[in-house]
Amino acid sequence: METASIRKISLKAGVVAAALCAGGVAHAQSSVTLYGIADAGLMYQSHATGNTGRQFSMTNAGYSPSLFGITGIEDLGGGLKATFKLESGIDLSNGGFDNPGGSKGLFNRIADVGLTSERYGTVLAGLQISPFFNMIYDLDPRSSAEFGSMLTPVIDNSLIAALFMPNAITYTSPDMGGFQVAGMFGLGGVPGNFRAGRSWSVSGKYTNGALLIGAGYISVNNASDAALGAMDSLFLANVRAWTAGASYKFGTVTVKASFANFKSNSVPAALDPALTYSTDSSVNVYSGGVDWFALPYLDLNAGVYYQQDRVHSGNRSITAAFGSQFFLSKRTALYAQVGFVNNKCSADGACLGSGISVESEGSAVGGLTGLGTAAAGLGFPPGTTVGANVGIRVMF
Amino acid sequence: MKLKNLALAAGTALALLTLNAQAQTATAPAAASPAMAAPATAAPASDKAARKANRKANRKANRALAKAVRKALVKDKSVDVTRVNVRARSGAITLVGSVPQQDQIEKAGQVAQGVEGVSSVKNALTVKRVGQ
Repeated sequence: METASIRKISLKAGVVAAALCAGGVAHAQSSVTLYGIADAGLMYQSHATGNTGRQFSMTNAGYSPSLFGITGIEDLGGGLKATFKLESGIDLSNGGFDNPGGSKGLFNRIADVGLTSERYGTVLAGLQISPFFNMIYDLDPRSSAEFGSMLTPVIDNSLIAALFMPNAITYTSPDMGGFQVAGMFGLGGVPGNFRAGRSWSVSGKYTNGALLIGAGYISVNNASDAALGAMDSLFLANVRAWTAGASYKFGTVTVKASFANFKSNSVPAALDPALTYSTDSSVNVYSGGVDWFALPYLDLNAGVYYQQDRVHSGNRSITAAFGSQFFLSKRTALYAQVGFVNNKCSADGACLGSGISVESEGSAVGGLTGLGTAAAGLGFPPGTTVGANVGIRVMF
Repeated sequence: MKLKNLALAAGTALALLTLNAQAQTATAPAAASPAMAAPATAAPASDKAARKANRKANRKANRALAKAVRKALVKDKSVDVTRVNVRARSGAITLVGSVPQQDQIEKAGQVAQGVEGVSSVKNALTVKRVGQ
C-alpha cells in the first residue's frame, strides 16, 4: 500500500543538504511539507460581546483555526529524525495573520525544531503547544473546537498563557506500554530574574486504545519585565492550572469527562492598562460529553462545560454545544454547531462573562474577575446567549 | 483458516443483515454474498430466542474483533490511537476518527488489515493535530 501523499513536496536529500547544511549525511531522506486549514462560515449570536445586541457575522475559524505551516523531517539514520515546524494562524475574513495573544508576527503560532525517535521520544525547542493543553485537547469531547468547547474556558481563565508557549523546550516520551509522559520548560530569559516569564508544564497519560486516563499541570509566571512583555504578549498573567480526566470508547462512541482548575492573577498595569482591574481568581471547570461517528464520514459531538469561580461564590457559567461534521472527503468537511452559554454573576459583581466562541471574543479575560463584565464592554452579559454557526473547512 | 473464519462470520451474519440497516454492504462483499444465499432456508426455522442468541454471539464476536484491532494499533507505536475508533461488523472493520499525521492513516489501515479475522478495512480516518 504505497500511497504517495499529494501534498508532500519532496525535495531530494542532496538539495536540502546543500542548501541547509554543508556536512549533511549523503543518504539522508528528507521532505518538506506545506500544510494548512482554511475554515470559514456564518455565525449567529443572540448577544454580542459587551451585550451589544444580536449579531450575524461571517467568521473565520468557525470550527478549526485557519492556518498554514511548513514542516520538515530529515531521516538521520538509526531511527533518529530531525524535524521543524513553522505555523501561522491566518484570518480568512481579511487575509491577515490570526495569531494568539494579539501577536501579529509570521509563524507566531508554532515555531520549533528538534529531534525525534520512536525509541527515545521527542525533544523540541521553540514556540509550541504546552503538554497541559495537549491533555485538555485529549479530554475535550469537542476536541477544542473554536465554538462551544473547552477552548473558551482555557483562554478565558489563562489569558491564553497556558496554550502557546514561547522559549520552550519540551520532551515527549515514547509510548511505554500505553504510558506516555511529557515535560516542558520555558525560560524567561530575563537577566537577574530567573522567575520572570518562566513557565513549565508536565502531563501524563495512559491508553489501551479504548480507555484513556490523563492529567496535566502548567505554571506560568507573567513577564513583568516590560521588554519581555512586549516580545511575548502571550504572558500577561500568572497562571497555575491543572486538569485530570478520562475517556472511554464504545465502538464508534467516545465518552469523556474531565476536571480542570485555573488560578490566575495580577496583570501588571505597565503591561496592559486595560487589565488592571483583574484580581486573583480560581475557577473550576467541569466538562463532559460524547463524540460519535454515526457514519464513517459523519461525526456528531456534544459537550457541557461548567465553570465555577471559587473566590466569588455565585459567579458561574455553563456552556453547552452540539457539533456535527460531515466529511465530503478526507480533506474537506461541512460543519454545523449550535450552543448556548449562561452566565451568572456573584453578588459583588464578579462575572465570568464567558463567550460561546473564540472568534466572538466573548471574554478573552473572563476568568480574571471583574473584567468579563458586559458593563466594561467585555464578555457576555449575565443570562443566556444562544449561538449557531455553519461553515466549511478544507485541510491541505 | 481465513476461509473458515469467513464461513463462520457469514453464518452468524444472517440476523444482522436483516436487522442492521447500517451494514457496510459496499465493504464486506466477501461476508455478504454467502449469507445472502442462505436466508431462504434458515430464516423461517429460527425463532425469536435463537435470533436473539445469534445476535448476542454476533455482538460478542464484533467486540472481540474490534478489541483485537485496537490492540494491534496500540502495539504498533507509529500510530497515535487516541482519536481512532474501531467498528467491527462480521469481519469488516471501519476505522473512524483522526490521527495527527497523514502517514499514520495508511499505517493504521495496514495494521488493521493484518489482524486475523479481518476480511476488509474501510479507512475513514482523517488528519487532525492538537489545537486544530
